[in-house]
Amino acid sequence: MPRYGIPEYRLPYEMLDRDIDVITSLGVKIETNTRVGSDISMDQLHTDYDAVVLAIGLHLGRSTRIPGAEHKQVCKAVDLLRNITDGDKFKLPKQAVVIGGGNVAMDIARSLARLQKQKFGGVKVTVTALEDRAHFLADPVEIKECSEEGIEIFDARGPQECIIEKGKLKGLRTWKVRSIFDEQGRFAPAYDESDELIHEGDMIIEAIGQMSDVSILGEQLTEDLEWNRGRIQVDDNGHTSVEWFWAAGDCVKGPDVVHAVADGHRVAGSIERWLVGRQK
Amino acid sequence: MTEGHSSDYERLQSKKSLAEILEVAVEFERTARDFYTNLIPKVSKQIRYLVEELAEEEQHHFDLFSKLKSRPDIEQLIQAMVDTPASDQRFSDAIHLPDLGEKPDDQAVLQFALGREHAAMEQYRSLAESTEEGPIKELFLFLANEETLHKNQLEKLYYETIHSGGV
Repeated sequence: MPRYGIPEYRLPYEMLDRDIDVITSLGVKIETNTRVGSDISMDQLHTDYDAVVLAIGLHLGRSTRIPGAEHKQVCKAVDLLRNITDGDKFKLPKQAVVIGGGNVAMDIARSLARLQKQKFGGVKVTVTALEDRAHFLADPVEIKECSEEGIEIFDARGPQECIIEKGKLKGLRTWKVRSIFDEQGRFAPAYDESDELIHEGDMIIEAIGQMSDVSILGEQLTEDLEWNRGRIQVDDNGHTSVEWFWAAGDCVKGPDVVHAVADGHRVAGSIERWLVGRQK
Repeated sequence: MTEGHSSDYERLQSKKSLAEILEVAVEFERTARDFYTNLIPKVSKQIRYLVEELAEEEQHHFDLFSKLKSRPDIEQLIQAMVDTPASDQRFSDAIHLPDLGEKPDDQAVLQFALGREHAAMEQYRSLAESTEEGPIKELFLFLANEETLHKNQLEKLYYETIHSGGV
């Protein structure tokens, strides 16, 4: 997750590699390019190991599912961030529209802006967020630096439609959000339909919610586990309701690399105590 | 059919007895409850809480609306004719349930539930607006408020899980 979910300008790959080197030097073996569920089953992991820790992050992006969102030039921020990290070829948009007001929205907007600056000599990235500036989910410094990089930010805009003409993506239609929360502070967006904007763009990036790909658990383990409102239920040490299974990091607590690392320490201690307890 | 007959017919169609309206309201809740109840074993355990909560909420509304019908003060008014709003057909249509597929995800379930709550809320609000001050208006306002409360809860959940979850 830190490599694919956080742009290199925020967390240099070199620093990440240095940390990984420390871990592998302690004798930890890392098997890459192995997908649990297809290359190896969860049952097999259970058979081969005493304890299994799930720390799969939040690699799946949510979609607004507004009309036109299925167009091939409408993509999810997490997927595009991965492409950028991997150096995969993709058609850099001349004009991009980002939907979202969180840190991931700012990450992808700034990543695209930097690539545009290198390739086209200028920046044409627009961020549209449902929230007004006072309720942005992104850190204030991210918003400030986004603006400094030449990214246009439209707050309080509700996405209505990805406009497609003759098969080509033309932009995003938004309505002004009159209010996003009601008097009790609950989410209840109300739009001013007369205040409509078309944000032109040849690519729209959805940077709203993210989720974990828990399909790798398989049906049986999914049923055996206790869940807490969509997330795997764990105790303070990351231990799940299944004896041999722990879960940690973003997939149980939401995105935060610092807390994810702390989780790793707690889970390691918990597993050690559990293994020692079994030997007695 | 002459123009006059046609408008008489339309006028007749635009009125329903309170009994009929409450019957549709109860049916609306019953079909929703059964729909969510049948969906519970089909969805992943990860999102089963959501469908279970929806089924519980619809059961609560079903009980509440059924009891209303037999309240003495309402019983006296049950044959009163009420103007039905333009949203009436849309509301009745919402009783027919779509196929969300074999394994719908949380977003599909929430969007469907929000659509139904919105249709119900609009229906009762419109009924209240077209009804004179009195116990029937109060009843419709009560029903609209119930649906609005539930819609607000669902919108909050939608925002937390779909729109901002994990960003």
